Amino acid sequence: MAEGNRARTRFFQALMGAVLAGLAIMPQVLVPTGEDPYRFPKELWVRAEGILLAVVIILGFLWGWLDTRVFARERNVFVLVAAIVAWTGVATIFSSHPAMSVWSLFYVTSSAIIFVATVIAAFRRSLLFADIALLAAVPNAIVCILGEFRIWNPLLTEKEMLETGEWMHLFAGGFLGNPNDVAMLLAGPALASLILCAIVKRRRLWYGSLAIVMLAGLLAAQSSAAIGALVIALLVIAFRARRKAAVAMVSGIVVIVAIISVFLPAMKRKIGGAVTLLRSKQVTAYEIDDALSNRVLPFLVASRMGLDHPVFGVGPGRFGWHFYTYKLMYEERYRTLRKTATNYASWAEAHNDHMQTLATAGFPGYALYVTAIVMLARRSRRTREGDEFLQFTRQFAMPFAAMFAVITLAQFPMELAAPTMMLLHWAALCVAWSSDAAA
Amino acid sequence: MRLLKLVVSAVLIAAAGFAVHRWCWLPYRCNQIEKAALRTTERTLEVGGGYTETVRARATAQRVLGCIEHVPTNVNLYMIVAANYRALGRYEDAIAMYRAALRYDRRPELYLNIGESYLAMGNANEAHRYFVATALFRIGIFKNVPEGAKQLAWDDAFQQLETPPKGGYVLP
Repeated sequence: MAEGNRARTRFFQALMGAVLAGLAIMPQVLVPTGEDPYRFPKELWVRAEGILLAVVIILGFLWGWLDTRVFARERNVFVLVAAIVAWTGVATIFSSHPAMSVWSLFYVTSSAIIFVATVIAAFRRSLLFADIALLAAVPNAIVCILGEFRIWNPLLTEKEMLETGEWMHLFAGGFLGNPNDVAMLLAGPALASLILCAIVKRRRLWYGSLAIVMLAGLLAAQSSAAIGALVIALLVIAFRARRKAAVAMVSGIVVIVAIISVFLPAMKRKIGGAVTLLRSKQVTAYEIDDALSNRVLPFLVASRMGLDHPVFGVGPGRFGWHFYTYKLMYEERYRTLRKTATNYASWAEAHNDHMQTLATAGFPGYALYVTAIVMLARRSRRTREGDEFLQFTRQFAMPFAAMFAVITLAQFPMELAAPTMMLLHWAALCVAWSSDAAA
Repeated sequence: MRLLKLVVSAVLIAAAGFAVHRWCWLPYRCNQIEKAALRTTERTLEVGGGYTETVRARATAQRVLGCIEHVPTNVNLYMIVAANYRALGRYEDAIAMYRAALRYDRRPELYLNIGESYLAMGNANEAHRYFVATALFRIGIFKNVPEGAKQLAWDDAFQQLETPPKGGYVLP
């Protein structure tokens, strides 16, 4: 009996180690000798981690280190995960090119396995899950800041970028290659570190310092979507707080947003564009597109794709292939869109995970997507007061769900390995650390 | 029972090892091969014909063909192989590669390259069809196409853009 318990403990420690090591290393993976040094190696890491964790979990059941009752604790969540994988499989079968969609199915399945493994490991509560996740984001935050001040980038030199005429802001791409990707990675940890700073009083300095690093990285990345999503999350916290605290929080948020708008060129441009648009008497599709960073066309295309293929979508990973036909159709309808800066581009992603899910997996797929967000948000209301883990879930889950819903309106974190893993990790902690909620 | 568990565990671990090798390690190596092959191909196309370039083009095409099996959705790999085939004068094989790539992504560069390959083979009609598709998607990217062919393609493409055909745009 004692030996069995020891074996079980060692298994959980190994599972925890594997999950945390994967999360800690993956955002830093960079292959300078590869044609794609940033995204593809990280996607391969997710595949490998998914395969290995699947084997670990199966071995756990085989040798009795893992009990099937672990799935009963959060049955709804595991059923939802299984439904998401199953529906992705169905959408793959009915895809316009199943041989291509199968790779997206692989990615979704690997992500699901990593999520499940994290939930199982995190049932044995430890702040190490939060600490490692925050530390995993720190290198990218620092390198993004260094890049924004043109001090250092792991692969690029300023001279090369000036010679090739590349978008200079890419210098702040951290280890992910694009500052928008870095912002998507940092959004979750930024919110989590602020909440942990408030809740875990004995480690306030530690979490406070990490929060400063995350926020500085987020500002350096200058992603309006990520900053806006964080602001929304903070407003959700304020809305749920007592009146005095809420007023103080909202005032603080307004002041911070005002300061950011003055000093960050990207935010200043965005707000300026929005104001010009609102004051215009006659608005063309081109002007709306310009205000929305040239997103109108992919948004229109994705929504049309979803309406044209409402049940199964065009298939996972097939948005880019279908894009051009719809692009020509919409440019014929709104001819001013032919003048946009990205008119020549083929959008491989819709830059809106809501619409992309609808386009590639149909309405059932989008319903599962929304269900996941709602179930995550409900963790805040279901969780009773208690230890710091329960308090964290209570304070974090709903704002995090709101942040995720907003950030995926203008970005595509679920198509990128590093942001996906980071977001799924925090969602897994909300599930595991609120597991007493039913009692 | 314990023996059975051990056998199953061994099989699982071996299967995981195979899966990681096949779907993670080999694509990782192909990512590196792609970068090297791209450099080699650019050098081959710059220098032009010659024995060394012919050998290099053949070797590069062979190497990258092996990678297509492991990363079939990577359009760049098809384009690298096709570019080397064109350097070797194997235009039909190049067109087959570009067409295979079109199943995964519909880039204007692919239509342009197919058009250029048909032109090199002397098939002006087919070349024109693909140049029109290129112009529909991305008007400014014609580089190696003769001025007359470019103008004809633009004219047809503009006509389709201004008054789109009833059945939708004509794409090869």
